[in-house]
Parts: sequence; structure tokens; C-alpha cells
Amino acid sequence: MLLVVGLIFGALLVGLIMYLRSRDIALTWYEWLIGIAGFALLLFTIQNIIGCLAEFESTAAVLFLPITGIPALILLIVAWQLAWRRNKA
Amino acid sequence: MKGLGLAGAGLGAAAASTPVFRDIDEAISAPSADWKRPWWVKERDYEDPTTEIDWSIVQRIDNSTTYCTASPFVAAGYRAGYVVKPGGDVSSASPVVADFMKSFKKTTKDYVNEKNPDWAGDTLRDCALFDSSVALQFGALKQPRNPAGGFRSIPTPEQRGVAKWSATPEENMRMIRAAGRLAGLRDVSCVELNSTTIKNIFSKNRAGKVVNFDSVVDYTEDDSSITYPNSCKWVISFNTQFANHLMRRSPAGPGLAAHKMGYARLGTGAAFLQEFLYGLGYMGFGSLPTIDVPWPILCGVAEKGRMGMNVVSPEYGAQSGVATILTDLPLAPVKPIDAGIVRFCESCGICAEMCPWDSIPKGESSWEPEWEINYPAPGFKGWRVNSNTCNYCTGCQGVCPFNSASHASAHALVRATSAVTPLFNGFFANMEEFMGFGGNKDPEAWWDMGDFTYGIDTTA
Repeated sequence: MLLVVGLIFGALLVGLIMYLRSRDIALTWYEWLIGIAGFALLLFTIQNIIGCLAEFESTAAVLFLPITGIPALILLIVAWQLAWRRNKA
Repeated sequence: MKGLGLAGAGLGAAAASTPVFRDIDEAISAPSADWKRPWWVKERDYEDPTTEIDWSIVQRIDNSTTYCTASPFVAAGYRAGYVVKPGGDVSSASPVVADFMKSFKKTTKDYVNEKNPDWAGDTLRDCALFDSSVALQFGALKQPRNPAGGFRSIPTPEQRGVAKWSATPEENMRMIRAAGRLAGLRDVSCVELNSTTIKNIFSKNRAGKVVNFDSVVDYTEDDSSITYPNSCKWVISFNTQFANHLMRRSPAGPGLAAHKMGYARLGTGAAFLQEFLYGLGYMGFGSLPTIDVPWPILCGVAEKGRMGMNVVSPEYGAQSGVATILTDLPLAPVKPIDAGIVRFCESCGICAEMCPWDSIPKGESSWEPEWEINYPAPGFKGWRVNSNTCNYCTGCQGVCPFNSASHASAHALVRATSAVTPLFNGFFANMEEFMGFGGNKDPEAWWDMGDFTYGIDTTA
């Protein structure tokens, strides 16, 4: 399981870097920081949803979506928007 | 083909790294015989657990006059608050039980219905499950109560023509741990019996016999006293894990079955260890005249939580039972632990809030009992259950946040953080309830929950 997650994460990271280079986009350190924080929170959310379901805790699984899932999306969107607007300018 | 080659290499690597034991000596000395604790479980000094104890106040208890567990109401109304017939009819309860039930603000069913409004009460299969587990622990299915020194049915070293077992105390501790786990026990530890810890042994047992330690060869008993050999200087403390998902159904009948089955296995494991000790050439005395609770907190098995008559383990929460064996096999004592549990209990209080009988103190820990009880348990700073009203429903054990499984990483994060700092404990306790973790789960749902031997989800 961890191997699969690691492979997916690695592939996504490589894909992102290749995409940024192809578009000649450089991210600032804070855009990286916000993006990594958002992605970590997204992974945390997904893992806990799956984990809670394995524990037969369906209520908790659903509640992870708004409690940590939405903040994760917000962080990722903020990182994307910061980079997009800066490079657009 | 490359894939097959890689798979073959993987299997070979896995085989090379898998432990292989050719004999018990290798098993004892292997790292797997160690007691692996999470990194956030810290050690404290001997006789200094997280529960503050003033040993100068602690005295040996006369158990013939002092009830250290629940009141006599337990015997009369063991399932007080439970429906005793399928369908929710309480009219079949005995008058004592019925009166006992009337004295409380709500019944077990009222409490279960708060979160499970469709639950109609214990069904026939729930009652049968509970009663079968009681039969296994106490009744018709239980093996005959073994003598104090065990059945002693297996050959001794002398009978085998070999010398008595001899090893270092550390090796012996690992050996006992390995043997105990084979018998279904989980954490196996040891306290040295000395002038301080002997205060946990009753001065008189329930029958009024004086409990002595003297220079005798073996246990002796007469009309007025029981005597253990002075050579028995080590108390083995151990626990067994309860059916975790089932216990969350407490105080409904099926939840209680988890408790009973756990203690039935605890008794079997204890009897096994006594025989094992005998086969090595040593003595092992079970059913000690003692309160079981102090021993596991003195040797790292658990900490003393808010709920009164059990302990809370970092690994199993409140979903475990404990017992002890006194032995003359030299063992390496284990230090108490600090996993942040007592500190968490100060902020949490979920067990006290859930108790249908309001028997658990809701305030801060204290050196004094909150109510007038038969045994005020002087000498420690903590919480004392109201033994006049607690009827062993085990609902508190089912709701403890430390019962959380380990699939969701949030639990590990909470435990590790609360072990390091109490700053977020209140927030964590609130989130435990908000997220719907904990106990008072739908009793009916357990029957469809899965394929766990002994009801224990070991993946959790």
C-alpha cells in the first residue's frame, strides 16, 4: 500500500516538475510550501477516510472530508492561484 | 519474465529476512520476544507511576471487611439495568435488581438509545452471547478453579531427570513473556515484591484469613491464615485484549460479553503460566489476595485512568483485563510508563459523562474520594469510582478514546501528541466525541462486522 502511494506521489511530483519546466514556470518557496502542505493534508485526509472505514467508523470517515479535506483543497488552490497569477502577470 | 525474476528475488529477500527459530532459546533471545512500545511511551522510575502514590499512607487492606471493588449490589444485580428477556421486557428482573434499577435516572437501554434510537433491547442472541461468556468465565464451562499453586499436572525437572531451569532475570522475563503470549496474553511484565509493593497484597483475604509471607517451602493454608513462601519475590502482571469492536457496544449485553470472554481467556492464560512455571521447577500462585489494578501500573502494562476498576493501556486503551501471578522465578522488574494517559484523563472525562449510573468522578484527580464508599482507597491521587452504584456495565471501558484502533493515522497523531504535551488534550477529547469515535455503537451491527478470532481485530 505504502509502496503504491509512494509511486503515485513520485510520479505526480515528476509530472509536475516536467510540466513546470515545459512552461518555463518557476515556483517561489512559499508556493512550494503551501502546495506541499496542501498535498500532505490531502494525503492525510484520504488515509484517514480509508482508515476510519476500516475501523467501521463511517461517521468519522465522512467528517474528515470537510474538516481536513476542504482545507487541503484550499491550500492547493491557493498555491496554484499564486503561481498562475504571478506567471500570468 | 523479468517480473517473475523480480518476484523471485523479492521472495528470496523476504525469506532471508524472516526470523527462523530453531529452538526456544533462539525465540527468547530474538527481538520479537522484546516488548515493543511506541516511541512516545516513556519509562519512569520504579514505584513511581504517573498516578501519584504516597506509599506512607497506603496500607494492606483487610478484604474481609473492605470491599475493594463493587458493592454487594453487584452480586445481586449484576446485570442491573439490562433487559433480561428478549424484546426489552424488564419485568422478569428480580426484586433486588428491579429496585436497584429504579434508583437510577436512566437504564442501560435509555443510554444505548441515545445514539441508537432503533435499538429495541437485548435480543435472544445477545442474551445467549452474554450468558455463554459468563458461563465460560464463572459458570458451568469454566475449568475447575485451580488451586493457589496451579494444577501442577506436568512433570517437574526432577521427574525429567534434569536440573531446575536457570537463566538470568532478563532472559526469564523474555521467556515468560513469550510463553504468556502463546497462551493468548498480551503484555507480560513484572513487579518486584518488596516492603513497599507488598502493601498491595491484602492483610486478610475475603474469607478473613491472614495473608502471610514466611520461610516455608510451599503455599500453606489453614483455618486462620494462608502463607506464601518468602522466596516468591516477583509478581507477574499481564493482560489480555478484549474483543475491541464488541466492547464498544457496552453497556448493551453483547458488549459485556467482550469483557467476560476476555477474562475467561485471562484465567486460562494464568493457569497455563502456572503450569509452565511448575514445569521449570518454580512456583506460580494465581488468584492472589490483592487488588489487580496497582500491579500493571507499576510495571508499564498500563496507566491508571479516570474509570475506577481497570487500567488504560497505550496499545489497547481500556479494552483489556489484568491479572497477576506470584512466583519465585527470578525476573527482571519493569519500570512504569508515561504515555500521557493520566494527563489526558484530566481533560477528557468522556467515561464519566457516559456512565449511566454517574459512578465516575467528573472533576480533577484528587487524593480524597468524591463520595462515601466502603473502600476510600487512600494514598493515591486519582479518581475513585462510586462502588455503591457501579455495577460493572463496562460502558466506560467501551468509550475510552485510547481504545482507538490504528488504521486511521489521526489516532497515532493524537496519542503521540498527548504523550508529549497536554496542550491539545481538551481539543482531542472534544473531537473524539464530535467525530463519533468511541463507544455506544449499534449493538446489532456487531453481528455482521467480520471475521475476527476471539472477536479481536488484530489489524487494528
